[in-house]
This record gives sequence, C-alpha cells and structure tokens, in this order.
Amino acid sequence: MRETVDDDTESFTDARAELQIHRNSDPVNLRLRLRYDYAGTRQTDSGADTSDFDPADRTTVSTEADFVVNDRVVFIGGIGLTHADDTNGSDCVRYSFREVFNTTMSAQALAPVVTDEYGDDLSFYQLYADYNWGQSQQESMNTYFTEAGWSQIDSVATPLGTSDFSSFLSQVPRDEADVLFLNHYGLDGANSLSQAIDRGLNEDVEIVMPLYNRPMAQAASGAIDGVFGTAAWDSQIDNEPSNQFTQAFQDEYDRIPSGVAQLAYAQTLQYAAAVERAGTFYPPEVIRQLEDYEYDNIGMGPETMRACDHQAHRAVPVVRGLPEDEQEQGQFFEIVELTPRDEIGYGCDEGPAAECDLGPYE
Amino acid sequence: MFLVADGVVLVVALDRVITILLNGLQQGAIYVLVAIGLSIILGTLKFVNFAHGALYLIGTYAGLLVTLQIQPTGGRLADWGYATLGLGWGFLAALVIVPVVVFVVGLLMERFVARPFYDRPDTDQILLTFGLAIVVQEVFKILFGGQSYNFARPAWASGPVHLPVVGAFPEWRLYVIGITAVVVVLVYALIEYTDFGLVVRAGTRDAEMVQLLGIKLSRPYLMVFGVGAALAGVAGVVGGPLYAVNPNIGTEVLVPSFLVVVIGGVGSITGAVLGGILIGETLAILVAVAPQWSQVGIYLLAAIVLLARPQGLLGTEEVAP
Repeated sequence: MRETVDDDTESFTDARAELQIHRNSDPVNLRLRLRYDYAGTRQTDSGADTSDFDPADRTTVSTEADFVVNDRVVFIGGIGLTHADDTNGSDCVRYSFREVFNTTMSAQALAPVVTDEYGDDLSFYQLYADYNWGQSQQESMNTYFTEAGWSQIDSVATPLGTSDFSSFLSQVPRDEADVLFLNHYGLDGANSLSQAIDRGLNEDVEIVMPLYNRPMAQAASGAIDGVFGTAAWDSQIDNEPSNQFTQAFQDEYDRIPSGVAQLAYAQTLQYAAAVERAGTFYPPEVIRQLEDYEYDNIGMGPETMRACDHQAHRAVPVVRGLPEDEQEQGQFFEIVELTPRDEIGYGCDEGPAAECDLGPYE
Repeated sequence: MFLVADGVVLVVALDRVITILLNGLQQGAIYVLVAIGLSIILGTLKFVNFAHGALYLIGTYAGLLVTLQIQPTGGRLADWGYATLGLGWGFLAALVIVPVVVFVVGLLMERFVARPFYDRPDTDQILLTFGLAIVVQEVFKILFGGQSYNFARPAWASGPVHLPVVGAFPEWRLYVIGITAVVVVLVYALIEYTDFGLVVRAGTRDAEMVQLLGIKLSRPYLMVFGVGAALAGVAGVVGGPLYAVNPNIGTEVLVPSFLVVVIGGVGSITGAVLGGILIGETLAILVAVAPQWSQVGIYLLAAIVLLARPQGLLGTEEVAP
C-alpha cells in the first residue's frame, strides 16, 4: 500500500491509498481515497471497486514480499490470494500484514465441520494447483484431516495454467476415495469443480473446495451446490459492522459486496486508523500501531493482528454452496459455521509462525 | 504398465487405457478445430494470424449470448443498465448462428486487416494480429467485465454418461469429439472435392501460376479466411461449456493450437487433426503417469517433431528460416 497526502500540510484531510495486488505476476492497482476532517473523523470513503477482480488472480507472494521490502511500503495483504501459510510464515516480512486467514486456519475450521457431516475414517484424494498456495493448502488439508482420523490416498499436482482438469479428474479412484479436495482457486476452481461434476464424480465422492471466492462461485454456478469450503467474508454474516458495510456498499454501488471487497475496505480503513493513531505516515510508526492491535469492528468478531507474524487471528467462515435455483446476485453460500478464533490458530512458536522472522523496522 | 498377466488386472488396465485415449481425444478436439482454421490461413494465404484466438473468443461469447441469457455484473454493459443479455435460444441455434457471425467477422478481418499486410514480413503480421488480439480481449473485458461466466452445458448433454468399460464420462465431451469429427470431414470435403478447394490448393502450391491462368485468387482467399474464422467460431461454441468463459480464453487456446499446426504441418487439414490428437493424447498420458510434466510435455513433443521433421508431420514445405 502506498499513500500520498494531497495537500502540503501534514493533515489527513485527503489521503489516497494505492493497493497493489498481483494478477499472474502483473501488478494491478486499486486506488482508494479517504477524506477526513481535521478532527480525524472520517467523512467519506470511496473508490475501491473490486468488481474487476479476475477469479484467476494468483498473488505472487515472493514478488509481493520483494515489493514491500525493497520499497519500504506497508502492505496489508489479504486481498486476492494471500492465503498460503508461507506468506506470514517463512516468507513473512515486517512491512506486510495479513487480515485474511491462511491454509492452516482453513483446514482447522473445515476439519470438524466436514468430518461431522461425512463421517469418520474416510479416505480422501487431493488435486492441487502446483504453486506455493496450492502446495500449502494440500499440506494443511492432509495434516488436519489426517489428524481428524481420515487418510489420504494421494495428492496430485496440477500444473499452473491448466484449465482442463478432465484428465486429472479421470484419475480420481472413485471406488476407493470418499472425499475429493480440489485445491484450486478462482477460475481454476470454477473449472475443476464444474468438470468434476460434469464427470459425475459427485455421484461417488463428496467434493470439498477449501477456499471459495465469489467470482469463482459465480462462474461455477450450480456446481457448488452442497460443496463445503471457507470464504473470507460474506454479507450474510449478521453483525453490526458487516451489516453497516453491506448497506453502505449497496448504497454506493447498488450491489452486494463480495468478501474481497470487504477485505479491501477493511484493510484500507485499518491502515488509515493506524496512521491516525501513529499521527504520521512514517511506516515504522504505522507498523508499531498495527502490531498486536486488538479490534472488533470489521465484522469478523474480536481480532488480533499478531506482532510475532503479522497474521490476524480471527474467526473463519465455513460455507456451503447453494443450489443454482437458490443463488442470487451476490448470494452464493450458506454460512454453516463461523468458527471462532479460539478454536483455530497456533502459537507464535508453532506452525507457520515458528518459521517467521519479520526483520527490522528500518 | 498395462502388461499384466492377471486377467482381472488387465481389464482394469484396459479401462484406464481407453479412458486416457478418450480424454486425449476430447482435449485435442478443440485444438483441432482452432488449428485447422489457423493452418489453412497460414498455408494458403501465408498470413500469420495471432488474432485467431480472438475469433475463438468472439465465438464463445456469441455462443453464450445466443444460447443463454446472462446477467452481466461487471463491465460497461452492466453500467449501461443491461441487467440481462442474450437470446436464450439454446445451443443448437448457437451452433448454426455463431459460425455465420464469426465467418462475417473473418471476412471483415481479411479485407481490412490481413489483405493490406499480405506482402509485409511475418513479423509485421504477428505484431499487427497480436495487437488486434489484445484489443479484442480488452474490448470484451470493458464490455462484459473481467469476471467469468458460466456457459452451462446443454441440458440434453449435461453430466456424465455411463459408457461400457470406461464408466462415467462427461457426455458433453463426447459431443465435442463428434461435432469436431463432422466439421473436420466437411472442411476436408470442401478443400479436397470442390472447385473452390481445387483453386485454394492450387493457389497454395503456386499462387502466381494460378493467377497467370486467369483465376482471381482474392475471392477464394477471402473465403478461406472466412471459413477459418467460422471454424474458430464453432470451436468457441463447442468449447465454451468446457471452461468458464472470460476474456482470456482466446489467448489460452491460441498457443496449443499453434503447436498443433507446427506438429501437424502448415496447411494440412489431416496434419492438424493428427497434431491435435497427438497433443491431446500426450497431455492425457502424461497426466496419468507424470502429471507435473503434462504441460511441458506438449512443448517437448513439438520440439522433437520440429527436430525430426521441420515441416511438421504432414507438412510439405519447411518453415522459412
């Protein structure tokens, strides 16, 4: 995130924030503008329209890390696909924060719900996108579902850039496997899930899509019916900040916000609030304000932006795809459970956090 | 891996072999349709058309809009108040209408894009058509948004069909193989057994001589471009339901289709079919035995073919250095 102050003063009257994500390694900028009065009260915020997000977005974590370190720019991740464990594990950097959960937390949230639904001692087969995120997610699924008593038959990598998964899907041992995990995101996920249904795999195995987003659900349409997964946020989460955001977004854009839109807004406001608390845009001071910050105002319950790994510890929504005839514009899932943060996560010396070395402030 | 003495295991192995072969066929089918157009345009007109993927893109979106009614949620069309777009006439209507639409687009492309560049170097043609492909892609992105649309398979061919030996197989993919086979036969007959085909083949071999004999080549060339474009349109309609539809699909289908042309040989319809099947089968076999190498494998196949036969398997002339 890069910020500029519109006028010559050091006031926060008109701050612009530029979010940079990466789409297949190409940077994509989102510009947001926040206006404040001199008392620091936010007057308006506008401009963040994430409807252009391509479901095929694959954030290049390493590029992102280089970007934030080399440019000394505070980056608040969680927009697009910063879901891999490494982002706030072995690849963590002082200048990057992540609001959205990671693959470990997705697996921790999914395992109890999915095993409760489908039973004990089952066998599962995985397909995963062969890059950092896909590898991270299949590892997490294997770890936590094995821990829950299931056993993995095999986990097969699908090369990045594959859009026809039919040959991979034909290799799924439908007599042997009870559950199939499709660790593909966005457009890849829409393709692999639709093709799995078209092949009739759902007649023999249960399919789980560990990470959903809305464009993917929209593109997969009826194929998501009954398929479990996790999602960053959903407008059906019923609490005051969520409802307030949904209403404000609808008033402005005349449509229901997606989980990614909520992340973009929440992160921008989070950053703006940190700048306000710090009284400066100077990154090291802003970072100190974000570290170990406790908040409960973005619709995901009480949260902590942990200082040790810059990973937000928060609830994870476990969702299930709706049948096509129940899907509406912007409404694709039912929320099965909002797994509270106490039931997921790990200590600073455990899991991905154990590998995190944030580096210096300056 | 399938040479197992035990009878039961052999049946299982046969089932796998047939499944892999079918997978390969259906994966190659779309590439064949795109590659035939690409190949006859390159072989006859000596025009390198990197915008051929854009014709596939136009075919897919046109197919989507004729077949179904969609609700654009992004892009200018949504901003302009088009809450619902499309005719909803069904798939068979799309299969008839879209090739005609893309045929006309192809004629316009030949007249206003290709023809002024016939005498220019390949590099100029590549730059021009590559740029055009990007323009078309971005126009679709502006109009429909960057998101993907679901091109639902026709209700009569949705879901799996239970085949003997193979078991459940996506029914639509069988139709893809069937439609491709029919179209290939029709195009082959057009080129091989009609006067138009005779002129085109003669023009491909020696354009100057054909013109000296008093035959005007500009009209057959225009038709070749139109037919090639219409084939990309058919591929767009048939391939549309296989993947989520978004503005990048044209580019994604172009590269494997070019590989098919390179492997099969420029200008050869049979070569394009052979190249498409080889690429599809290579992909399917590698997915079964070494999945991580499946994408690399098709490029390796192209490299091996080029080293052994630079003109492609069924090509008659070498690609100029």
